[in-house]
Amino acid sequence: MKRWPRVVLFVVLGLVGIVLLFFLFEWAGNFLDSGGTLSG
Amino acid sequence: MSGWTLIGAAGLVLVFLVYQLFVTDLINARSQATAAVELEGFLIERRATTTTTGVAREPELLTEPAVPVGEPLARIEIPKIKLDDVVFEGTERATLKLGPGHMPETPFPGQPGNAVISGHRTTYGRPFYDLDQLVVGDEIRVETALGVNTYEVREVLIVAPTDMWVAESIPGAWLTLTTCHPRFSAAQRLVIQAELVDGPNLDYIQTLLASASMSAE
Repeated sequence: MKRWPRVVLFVVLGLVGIVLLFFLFEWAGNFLDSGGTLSG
Repeated sequence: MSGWTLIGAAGLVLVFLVYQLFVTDLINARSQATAAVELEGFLIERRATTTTTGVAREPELLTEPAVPVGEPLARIEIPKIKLDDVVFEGTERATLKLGPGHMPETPFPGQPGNAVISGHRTTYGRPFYDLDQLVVGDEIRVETALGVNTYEVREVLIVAPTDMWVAESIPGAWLTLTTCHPRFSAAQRLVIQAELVDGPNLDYIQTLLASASMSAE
């Protein structure tokens, strides 16, 4: 495998990881502070 | 579990806490600064479209036009906890990231009934961080297109997140503030209920209450 496809793969996986991490943080943040809303 | 896995997990938790407790504050500070400027313009614009719907020789109810979700609606000031924030219309997650949000199913602040405003306690600018310091008699001011409405705290409650009754309509004009409780947990809700003691619609509301009590007798 040439060097550049590995670099691209690494960058893509890194970006996907950051996006997934962001959504994980958003979801977990609801347990810390959900904004004080009421839900019936 | 290997040492590196533990270090990785600890790092992830640290990044999560830094994001929630500091980065979200920066996001909120930026949106509040922009909204404060926008609100001034919006209030002037809405004042021009304020309407009256009363009966002659009696105090009239002043109303204001609906505000789209996510737009600045009012300014809330609580001198005791040094809060001065722009309130947005709506209580969706995206709106509450901008600042305290007004529950659209409830009347606007200063109108008859129970206006509900929710806000974050420990993240996104933590507008209601010190809300537990309020006691009966403390002052809350909300400026809308109609003018400044002054409320006095009447009740401080701790309820479950499902206790929707705190948002139900109450005779007179009330403001209900809700936030998470205790700090750093969404297990319960801290609720502040305050009654209107001064504002553009106070005369109308007092007349309404007097006629309701007369008809009840």
